[in-house]
This record gives sequence, C-alpha cells and structure tokens, in this order.
Amino acid sequence: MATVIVPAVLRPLTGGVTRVDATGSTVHEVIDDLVRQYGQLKDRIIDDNGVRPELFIAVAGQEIFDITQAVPAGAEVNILPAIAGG
Amino acid sequence: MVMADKPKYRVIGTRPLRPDAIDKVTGRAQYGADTRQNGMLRGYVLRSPHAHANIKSIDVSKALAHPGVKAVVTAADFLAPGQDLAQLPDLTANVMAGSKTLYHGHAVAAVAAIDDESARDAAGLIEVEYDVLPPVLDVREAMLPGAPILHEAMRTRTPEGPSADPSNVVAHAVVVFGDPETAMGECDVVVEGDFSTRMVHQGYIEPQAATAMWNPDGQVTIWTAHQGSFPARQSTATILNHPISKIRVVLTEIGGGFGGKIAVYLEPVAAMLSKKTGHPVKLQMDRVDVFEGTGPTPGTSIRAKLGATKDGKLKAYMADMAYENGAYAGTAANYATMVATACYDIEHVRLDGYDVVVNKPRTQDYRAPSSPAAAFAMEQLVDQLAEKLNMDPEKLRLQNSSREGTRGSMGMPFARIGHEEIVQAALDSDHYNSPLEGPNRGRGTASGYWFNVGLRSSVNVTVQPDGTVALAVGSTDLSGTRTSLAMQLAETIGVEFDDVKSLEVDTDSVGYNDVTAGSRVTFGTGMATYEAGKNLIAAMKERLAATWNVPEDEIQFEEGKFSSPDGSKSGTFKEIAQLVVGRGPGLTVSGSVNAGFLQGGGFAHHIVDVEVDPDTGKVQVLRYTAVQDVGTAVHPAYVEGQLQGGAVQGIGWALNEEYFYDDSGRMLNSSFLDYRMPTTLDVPMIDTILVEVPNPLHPFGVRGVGEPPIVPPLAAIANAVAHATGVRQYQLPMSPRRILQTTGKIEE
Repeated sequence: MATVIVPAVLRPLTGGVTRVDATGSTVHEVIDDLVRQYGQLKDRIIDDNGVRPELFIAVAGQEIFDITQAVPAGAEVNILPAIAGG
Repeated sequence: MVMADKPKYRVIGTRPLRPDAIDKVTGRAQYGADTRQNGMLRGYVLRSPHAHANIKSIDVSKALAHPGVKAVVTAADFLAPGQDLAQLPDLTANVMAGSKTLYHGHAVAAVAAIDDESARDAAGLIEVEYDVLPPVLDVREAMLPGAPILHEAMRTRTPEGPSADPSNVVAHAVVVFGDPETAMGECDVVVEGDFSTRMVHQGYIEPQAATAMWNPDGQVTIWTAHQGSFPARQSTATILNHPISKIRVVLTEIGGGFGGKIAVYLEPVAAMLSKKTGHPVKLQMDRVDVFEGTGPTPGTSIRAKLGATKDGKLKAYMADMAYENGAYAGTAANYATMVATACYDIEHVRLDGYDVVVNKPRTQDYRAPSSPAAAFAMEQLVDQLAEKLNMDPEKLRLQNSSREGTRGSMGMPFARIGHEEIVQAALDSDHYNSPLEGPNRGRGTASGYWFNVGLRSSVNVTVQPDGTVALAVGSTDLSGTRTSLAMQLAETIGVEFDDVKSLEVDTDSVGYNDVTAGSRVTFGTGMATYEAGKNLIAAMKERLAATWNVPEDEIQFEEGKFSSPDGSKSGTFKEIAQLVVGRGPGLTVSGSVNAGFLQGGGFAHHIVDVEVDPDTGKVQVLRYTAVQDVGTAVHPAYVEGQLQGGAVQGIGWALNEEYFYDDSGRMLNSSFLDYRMPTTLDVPMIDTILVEVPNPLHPFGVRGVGEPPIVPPLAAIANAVAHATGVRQYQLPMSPRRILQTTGKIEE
C-alpha cells in the first residue's frame, strides 16, 4: 500500500481528495489502482508511453523515470505538474 | 563562501574570458534581426487596436493590390480541415486572432512585401470590421459575476468539478497541509495584508525576430532568437499542421529572454508567408509590438495571513492568490501554490490559487514565474511578524527556515538545500552589520525560492586532429552557458578551457534539448556534457587499447592523463587525441540525459537600504546585497552577473514598472520612454555573496542560479520602504505617486 499525493491540478478529478491509498508494487500498479478508484484520472497521469509530459512522479521524494520501478510499502507517491521557469 | 567540503577543480570556479565577447562588443554577432537570405521579403503584422472585440470581417483585397505586396495571411490560413475560426486552439489564436481579439496588440493579419515600407503601408489597407466589446482588465473584477467573458466555453476547474456557467476563472487550485483554520486561531500573533502587483515586462533588449524559408518540397527552415529551438519547432509544427521532421530551427544569438521568448509569435507567421510567396520572409517586432504583443508577467492580487507563536514559531499561513493569465488560460496561480511557503517550515497551510483570464496579452514566465508576487506577500508578513514579536527578522527566518527533510511546498521533503546558510551569511555580512544612519532611510530583507529543473538535453563532442574538442550544443545560450558547458567538459576530460570550442547548432544537428528556462542549462545540459565527456574518454580508451596493445579496461585516466597498466606508456588527453584521432578516423560522441524536474531547489536572500524623499516620494536604493546558494559556481563572474541582473530587474518591478491601461484596455506606456525601467543611474553596485552548498544531484554540485534572484527584491524593498517611512506598502509599483499617496502627502 502506498499513499498517492494528488496535485491541485488533478483534484477536480478526485472530488478534491488530496491523499489516496493505493495498492501495487510498482508505480504503474499504484497508478492503475488510483485510476480504478477515480476513473476520471484515466490517461491523465500515464499513457502508453509512460508518464505524461505535463507531469512527473516522485516516490519517497525521488523522481522516477521508469513506471515499472518498485514502490516500497508505505511510500508516498507524489504526482506533480511539470514546470520549468523563465 | 563555501559552506561544505568542495572538491578541488582545475577549470570550474575560474573566470575565463567569454568566447562570444568579441563578436558581441564589436557588433559582429548575428541576432534574430540580422538574418538575411537571398530573395528575402519583409513582413509586417497588423495588430488589434481593441482589447476585446469580435472580428466580423477582414478584407485584404486592397492590401493585395499594393504593388509591393506578395502575400497576406490571416487566421483562416492556419485552420485545420473542418475547423472554423472560433475553434482555433489557444496556441494558434494567440499567434493570429480567430473570431475574437482579446487584447490590444493581438495579431490579426500579416503582410509580406518587397520592403518594410510596402509591408507597413499595405497593412494599413487591410480593412478589419470589429464589434467592440467591453474589456475586463483587473484580476479581481474579472472574477466577479457579470464580468465581460473572454471565452464563452471556459468553465472554472474546481476541486468540486467544473463551474456551471462561463467564467474568466480558469481554475481554482486548493493546497492544504494540516489544519490551518484551527492553527491560525491558536496563534499568539497574526498579521495579514491585501497585496497587489502589476503586470510587468521582462524588458529583454532584443525584440523578437524570425525568418522562415518554406521550400517547395515542404522543408522549412526558421532562423530565430528563441529560448528553445526544439520547443519552437514543436509549436510551429503544431500551428502549421506540418511534420516536425520537415522543420529545421536555427538559433541566432539572443538578446535576452527571461522567459519571454519561450512562446512562438512570429515563427509560424513567417513560415506561412514564405509558403504563400515562395520567398524567405523576415518578421521583426519593434518595442511597441514587444510590449503589446508578447507575454509579460501577470499582475496579481494576494490576500494573505501569517500566524506564529509568541516565541516566533511560524505556525499557519493562509493565502488567496489571484493571478492574471492574460487572454488565454495559464497556470500562474498554480505555480504560486507550489512556491509560496517554500522558505519556511510551516505545518498548517491553506493556499487558494485562482488563474484568471483578462483582456491583456497572454502572460509568460519572467525568471521564477509567480514566485516574486508570492514572496512580496509572505516576506512582508514575516517582516511584520518580526516587528510584532520584537525579533530580528533574519533570526525569525533562520529559526523557521526550511532545511533538508522539511516538507517542501510541493509536499515532498527537500534534499540538501541552502536557505539556512544564506540567511546566516546575510546575518554575518558587512552590509547587515553596518549601521544605516540618517533620516528617511530604511533597511529591508527578504528570501525567495525557485524549483529549478533539469529536463532533457543532448550535446555532441568532436575531437579535432590537434587534440582540442568542439562542443556542439542545442540549448539556447541566454546567459553564457556555452562557456559554463565548455568549462564542465574541460574539467571532465582534463583539458584547458581554451581547448574546448563551444557552438550552438540547429535542430537537425544534435539530439533533443528542452527549452532554456528554469535555470536548467548549466545544470541539465551540463550533465549531458559530463556524460559526453565520460563517453569520449571511454572511446579514447578503446582506440588506445589497440594502439598500446593493452586491455582497454586496464587503461587508467586520471587528472587528464591516460596511462598503461604498468605506467610505461602515458599521455595527456591532447597527446593521445593527436595519436588516435589525428592519425585515425574522426571521433564524435554524444551525451544525452533526462535530468528530470527535481534539481534540488534554489534559494536567494537580499538586503537593501533605501532612502525615501518625503517631498517627492522618490525611493533611492542606497546599498544592495544579494546572497544566494549557488551550489557550485562554475564561472563565478557569470553567477554574480545573474544575481546582479535579478536584483536590478526586481528594483524596476518594485519601484516603477507597470503596464498602464486606459479604461478601453489600450496600453498607454508601450515604449521605454514611458515604461520606466531602471538605468545605471538608478541602482548602486549590487554586491553579491555566493554561498556554495554543492547540489548532490549534479556531478559538480551545480545549482541553477538565474531564477531565484528575481524573487526577493520586491519584498525586500517594500520592507525597506516601510522601515524608512513607517508605512507598509501593499501595492506595486512603489512609484513616487504611490509613496506620496500612502504617506498621506497626496490623495489616493
């Protein structure tokens, strides 16, 4: 079980819910379980090519680049909007 | 000032002369407007005189009849099959208005002609029939029921779902940590304020310019001064509905950007004009176009409240933050929710961010976007709290500083960061410890934060027969990065800085590079350069193994020297390169990385002394010190320049700059005569203190340095003015008129 932190930009699709407990041993599985709970998130976080370009994901504070990466039990999974700056 | 153990470097940390200096000071450097192609036509963009209007019709017949005119384009030329003008996506509609103009200066048509005069004259013959609508220019007024609506289809995205009715509010983002309502009620001291900042422009010295050539075979070449050749190619391909592989973008030198040259404006228009005429077409803006037709930074309205215990522990922060997006939807307020509390460890937070469209140009980034306004509120409240608690504001900041492990404003713990170190450096500085004497004078301080990012970068390195190397870079060099990258390559492969020649190449000549923004190039492209250097050493070892007849994996490379396992054979990089490349086939290697979004974060802290003339209201900056955690200063002079530039831009934003509109939405100060940017006469020497807390995410400890220094000045100067006058400043700019109004010398 991991805890997914939903970013403000996606909360309209979770009814304002910020933290969601989701099961899975990899990032992909955790996101799948999140989408199972909140169907409107389907294809908004990952698609066939991985993490959508407007977002990034961090597990336990470390950015991940491979959605097959393992998620330790109890870890926080942050989904964050991708921004750069000037 | 080095705050942690730092490796000894040979090249990094030195101050070599910049290789582009001679071309730039002698005028030989080629900028966007310097592009010339055989048979080139000149273009001119016709812009809307109205801030808000339906376009009923556009008649270009008289313009086409002009003897010098070769083509005219309107939004109709950019329609996808089956699309109508009202359905143009925002990306395209901002380049060329579809069924509606949404700001004064919005492009409505463009002409290509044999010369500038003909193009300009013909544009005057285009007849546009407008149905003028009432504009809305103020961010809070735009949020009210009954405000003129810019986009009938827009519904506010809220945590509860989309709004029922059309709205100018793009989105309402809510960020909550802890129980802010309850915690605020339990605080011993609470301060609050209603802050506002005005739309300002980045003020880059070079207006946008782009030239395009559309060949009959569909191959398109674009020469442009843009912050990212690859993103410019992507945007242009999307707008033109043309294959990305058929577009080549060639970067020219660029005269500043600061985030204002991330969007495309002229590139697709020049390409479409070229397609219609069969000639290369050059478009360039003048300063009025730049002010009215490109992307300034948002004006804001922030209502904020900060609470603490009586012993100075920050306990709760609540802020309602409304950010102008300009004419089209953006995410400026959402950014603000991600940075507003970054400097401090505050357990209970509620941030409400409202992104709002108004009849002004679509906003763009300006260094650390959204963060200066958020800091203008937060850092003044910290200063007020220190006053109420009778504490030194620096000690209050130090007590509550974010540090490694603190939950950051994005909800994740920070890695190794240096906010504590820079506040301590400020406390220890000569500036902070020097008394400020005399009437009407005040000292202010403030902190600021930006994420900084890594993103994707690629470089190529080619070994020359004489053992020097050429570094081909696809990232726009905004601030001297060709030098900072060459220094990192020299450090990696053990050669001198002068042995590396760094040059910018086009989109067909190197792997993908994301935009030059977010203080990412010296960090992210630096990682790609380091990777390429390592790959080069490996390739050299492979060749050397055959030459020396020793196993490849037993060849050593240390301190710039290759040596055989028994030490009997050795040579410097240059010597070995002359041996294995000078006498052998050519050698080019690449380095490509995805350095991700998490760069580790950058913090800045500024100290400023001002004197306020009580009769005229003029604020004179007397002394200014910028302190920043810079990770590792690759080229300290460049880093100092970044800090100084950010401070000067912040001084202008704080004291004088603003987009000034009449009630019809027409900008009244779209020239540097009327839009008051600081000059050398307005600012003192900006002293810098570089604090080096090496970034563990980069092989040389690099942190981006360009974004953070724009964040503290607004609040630092406001705090200084408050201490000089006894009157808190809630609204920017703190112009003489504003100072006289707030100090009661003239009426509001």
